[in-house]
Amino acid sequence: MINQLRADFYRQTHTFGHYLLLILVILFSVITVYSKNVGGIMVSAPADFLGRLANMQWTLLSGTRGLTISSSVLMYAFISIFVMVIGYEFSQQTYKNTLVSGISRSGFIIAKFVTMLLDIFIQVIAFYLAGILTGIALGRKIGTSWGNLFSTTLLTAVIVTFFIGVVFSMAIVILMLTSSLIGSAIFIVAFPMLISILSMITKWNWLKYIDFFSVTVKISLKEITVNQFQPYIWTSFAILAVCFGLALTIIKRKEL
Amino acid sequence: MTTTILTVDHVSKHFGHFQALNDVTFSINRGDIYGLIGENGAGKTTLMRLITHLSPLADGKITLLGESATHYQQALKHVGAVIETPAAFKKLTVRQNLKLTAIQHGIQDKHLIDQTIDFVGLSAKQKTKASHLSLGQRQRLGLALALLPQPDFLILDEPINGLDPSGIVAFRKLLKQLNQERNTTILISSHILTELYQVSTKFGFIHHGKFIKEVTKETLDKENESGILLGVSDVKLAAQLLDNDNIGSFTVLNDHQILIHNFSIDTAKLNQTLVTNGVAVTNITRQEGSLEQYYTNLLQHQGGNQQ
Repeated sequence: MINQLRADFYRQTHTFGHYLLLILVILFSVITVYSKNVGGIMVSAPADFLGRLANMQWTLLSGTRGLTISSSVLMYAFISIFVMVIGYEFSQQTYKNTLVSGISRSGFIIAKFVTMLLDIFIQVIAFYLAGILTGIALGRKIGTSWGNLFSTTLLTAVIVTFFIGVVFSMAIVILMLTSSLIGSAIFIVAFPMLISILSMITKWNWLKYIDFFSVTVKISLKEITVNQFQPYIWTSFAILAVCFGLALTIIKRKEL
Repeated sequence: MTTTILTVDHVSKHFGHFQALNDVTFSINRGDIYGLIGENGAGKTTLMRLITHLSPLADGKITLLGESATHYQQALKHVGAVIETPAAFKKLTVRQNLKLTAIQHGIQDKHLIDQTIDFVGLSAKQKTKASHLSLGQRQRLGLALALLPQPDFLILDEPINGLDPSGIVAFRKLLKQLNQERNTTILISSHILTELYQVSTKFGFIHHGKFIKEVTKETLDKENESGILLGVSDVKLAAQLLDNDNIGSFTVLNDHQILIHNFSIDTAKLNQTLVTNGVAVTNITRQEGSLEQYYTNLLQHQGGNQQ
C-alpha cells in the first residue's frame, strides 16, 4: 500500500492539473482576502456574521475566518483531485495494472483515499497561507497572537480536509457502484446543495451533522465547543466506515 | 520450484443467465507458451480476468504459483498481464509510466526501466506521452509495464491486435526471447492463429465456454499434417482396406480419423471402396496442415458432437 501511495504521488507530481489547481486555489484565496467577499454553501450560515465581516476592519484572523466560510467552494475545485487520483484509474482502466500488481482491494481503496486526503490538505494549507500572506501584503493587523492564528488555521485546515474527505468517500462508493466518474462528480456538486435544500424544506435538525461546512465555520468562529463538536465528528467517522465497507464490498464483487 | 504455474480446476462463470465458462479445467507448466484459442465470446478473456482476479471467482478453483486462496494476491505479484486493451496513463511519458510501475512494485533497480524500454523497442519513444503512441507502440508499452517486475508468468489477451506486419514479427521475437532467456511462462490468446502457432508450445481450445481440447505443438503437428483427412466409422477396417489398395503412407490419427499423405488419390474411388466394404465415411477433406484448419476441423467435429 505504501508503494501505491508513493506511485500516486509520483504521478501527481507529473500531472499538470495539480499545479493548475494549486494556482487557482491560491488566486481564489488572494481575491477573497483582497476583496473581502466571502460565501459558501451551508445549511446554517451565520448571515449576521457575513454582513459584519464584510464591513469590519479585516485582520489576518478575520481573513482566515472569511476563507473558512468560502471553503465549501473549494470542494467543487477539488473534484479535479477526485478525478486525477481515482477517476483516471477507472476512465483509463489503469486500475487493472494496479490490481494485477498484487495490491489488495482494501489497500487500493485506502491508498486512493489517503492520497486524496493529503492532496486536499496541501491545497487547503496553500489556500490559508496565501490568504495570510495577502493580508500581510495589504498591511493588515494580525488580530490575535501568531500562535493562535496558526493553530486556528491548522485546525481549520484539518477539519476542512476531513469533511471534504467524508464527501469524497461517499463519491468513491458512487464510483464503485456505477463506474461513472460523471455520476460521482455530480454527487460531489449536489451533496452540499441537497443538504441545504432539504434542510430548508424539512427543517430536520439532524441534517446539521452532515452539513460539514457549516460546522467548519462554527468551529472557526468558536461558536461550538469541543464537546458540542463530538457528535459531528462521530457522525463523520461513521459515514467514513460505512463508505469504506461499502466500497470494499462492491470492488470485491465487481467485474473490473 | 513449482513446475505447474497455473491450475484451473472446474471453473465456471455466469453473467446472469449467460454461461461464459462451463467447467473449465486445464493447467500450464513452467516454461510453456500456452496459446488459448477460441472465437469471440468463447470465454478467453473471462478466463484471463478470473486468473488475475479482475473478475470474482464463484465456481471452481484457480491455483496460481501454488497459491489458491489467502496468498493469491502475493502470487499475483509474480504475474504480468495485459488484459483486453493495454492501459497506461495517457498524460505520462513511456518512461514515466514505467517509473510509476517500478514504484508500485518497489523496484529499486533504475537500469531495469532502461532495459525494459530497450527490450520492447521503445527507446526512441521513451519521452513520448502514452497518448501520442501508435496502437502498436501502446501494445509494446503495455507489455513493458507487464514485464518490468520480471514476472514468472505473463498473461496476454489479444496482444497482436492492431499490430502491423513488422510489429507482429517483432512481437513474436520478443515473446520467444522472453520465454527462452527469462524462462517466462506465457498464456496468450489471439485471433491470428498463424502467429499463435509460431510462438506457442501448447494450445488450449475453448468453445462456447467449454474447454474442448489441449494439444502440444508436437501432437498438433502430428495430427495436423497435410493430406487427405478421412473420417470413418471403423478405423481398423479402413486401415486394412487402404493397405490392400496400396494407397501409400497414411497415419491413423484417432478412433475416427485417418490422414492419407498422398494428395493425388482418387477420393471418389476410395469412398466407394470403403463404403462397399462396410465402412461408413463421415467426411473426406483436404487438410492443409495449418492451425486454422485444425481449429476449423475441431469446431466441425465439436458441432457434429453437439448435434
